[in-house]
Amino acid sequence: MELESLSVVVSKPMYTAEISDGPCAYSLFICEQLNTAFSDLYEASLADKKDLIHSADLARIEGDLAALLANAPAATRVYLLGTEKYIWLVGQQLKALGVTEEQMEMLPPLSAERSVFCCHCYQVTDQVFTAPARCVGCGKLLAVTDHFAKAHGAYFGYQVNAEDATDIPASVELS
Amino acid sequence: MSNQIKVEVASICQVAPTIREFTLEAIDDALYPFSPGAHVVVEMPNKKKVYKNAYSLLSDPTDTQRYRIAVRLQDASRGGSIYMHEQVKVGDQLLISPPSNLFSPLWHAKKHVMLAGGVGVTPFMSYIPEMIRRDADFELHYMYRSLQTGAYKHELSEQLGDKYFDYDSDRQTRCDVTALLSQQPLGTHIYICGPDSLIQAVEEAAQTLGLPASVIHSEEFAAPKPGMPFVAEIKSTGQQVDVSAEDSLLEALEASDISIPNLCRGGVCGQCVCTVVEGEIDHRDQYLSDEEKAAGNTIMPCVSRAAGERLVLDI
Repeated sequence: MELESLSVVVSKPMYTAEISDGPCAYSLFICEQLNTAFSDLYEASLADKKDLIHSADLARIEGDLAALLANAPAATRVYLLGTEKYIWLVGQQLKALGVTEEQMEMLPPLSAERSVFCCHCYQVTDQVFTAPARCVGCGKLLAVTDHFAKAHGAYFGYQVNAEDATDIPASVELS
Repeated sequence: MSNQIKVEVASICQVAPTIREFTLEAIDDALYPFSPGAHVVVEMPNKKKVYKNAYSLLSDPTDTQRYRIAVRLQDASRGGSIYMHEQVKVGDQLLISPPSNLFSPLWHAKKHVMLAGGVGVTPFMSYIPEMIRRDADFELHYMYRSLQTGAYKHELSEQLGDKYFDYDSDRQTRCDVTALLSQQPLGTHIYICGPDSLIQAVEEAAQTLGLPASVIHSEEFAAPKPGMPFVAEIKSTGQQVDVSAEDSLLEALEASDISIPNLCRGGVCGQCVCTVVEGEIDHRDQYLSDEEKAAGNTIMPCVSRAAGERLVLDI
C-alpha cells in the first residue's frame, strides 16, 4: 500500500519549447551541447549584454558564473540547455548567486534520460532510460518515481524488490 | 481575545507634522521579541465603537521592555488615527495583539533595497538594527513630504550615511524608480512600504526592466475606507447585519457577535477571507489575486465591501 502512495508523488518538471523573451539587461546562455536552435536564440537576444557558455564541466561553469555574474544587473535572464541533471545542477549554482527560478529559462532536456537518487545509499545513477534501474552505488534494483529533487537534478528511487530479490518487474521505458 | 497584551503609554512625541510616536511599555511581563517588519493591532476603546488598527513596530526587535509605533493622522480617518492623536495620553493603558509579521526581510538576498513612502518608513525602522547586526548590504530610499511626514529623517541620515537617500516632494526632489531599480545588482530584493501609488510604480518599473516579481515585496495597511451602507446576510442563519458607511464589514460582523478569524485588519494577511454566494463585491484588499477578485466569490471583510446593497456570506 505504501508503495502506491509513494508512486503518487509527482514533481516531474514540465518544460516548454516556448521561450519567454521578456525584457532584460543581461542574458546568459549556458549549454551542455550547442545546437542550432540554441545558438539562434543567443543571436536573437536583444539584451544590452549577452554571453554564451558551452561546457559540460560543472566545476568550470561554476568559476565562469562567479566571474560573469559578479557585476550582473538584477534584470538578468539565463537560458539553459542540456540533460535534465545538467540544467538543474547549473540552476543550483545560479540560485546560490542570486538568480531566481523565474529568471531561468530551462529548455526541454536533450534526452529522456533520468538521473536517479537511491534512498538507500544516497548515490545518484545517471543515464537511466528504463525502470527498474540498477543503482551504481549499492546494486539494488530501483523503482524510478516521478518525485524529482531540484537540488540533485534526480528522481527518487527505492528498491523495487526488497521483500523478494528474485521478483524482478518487467522493464519499462521512461519518458 | 485572551492573548492580548496590556501596555502603558510611556511617552508620546510628535515626530513629523502629522505623525505621532507612542512608546508602549510592558505592564505585567516583558514583551515578546519580534522579527523585523512585524506589526501589532492596537485596540482603541472609543465609547461609540472600538477601533482596531495595525501599526508596524519601529523599535529594535530585541527590545522586550518597550515597543514603539508611529501613527499618521489620516485625512480620511474613520476615527482610529484621530483617537490615537487626540484621546491617548501618557499613562493610559492599551490592549495590543502579540506581534505578527507579514513583511519579513528575505535574509538570503544579496542586497536589500528599502523604499519608504511617508509613514511607511516604520517597518524599516525595525529592519535596520538587524541589517546592521548581520552586516547586510542595504539601502534606504525615503520619500516624504516634509510639510506632513518625514519622521526620523535626521537620525536615519546620520546613522546610515551613504546607505541613506532622501526625497522630499515638498521640495521638488523625487525618486526616479526606474533608474534606481536598473542600478541594482543580481540578487537584490526590493521592499516597499507606502501608498499604493508607490507600490504600483515600483512594480511597473520592475516589470518593464525585467526584474522577477519574486524579488519585489510590499506592505500597505489600507485602513478600511468608508463606502455606501449595505446589508450582509448570513447564509446559515438568515441573520441580517447592517453595515454602516463608516464601519467595515468585519467590524459590523463583530458587533453582531459573529467572530471571524483575523490578523492584520488591513487587507494584507488573508486570515479573514469569507465566501460570498450572492452579491457584487467592491474588492479593496492586497491579498486576493486579480483572478480571485474577478471570480467574485471571496471577500476580505476587513477592508472590502458590497458593490451593491446586499451580500450573502456563506458562514
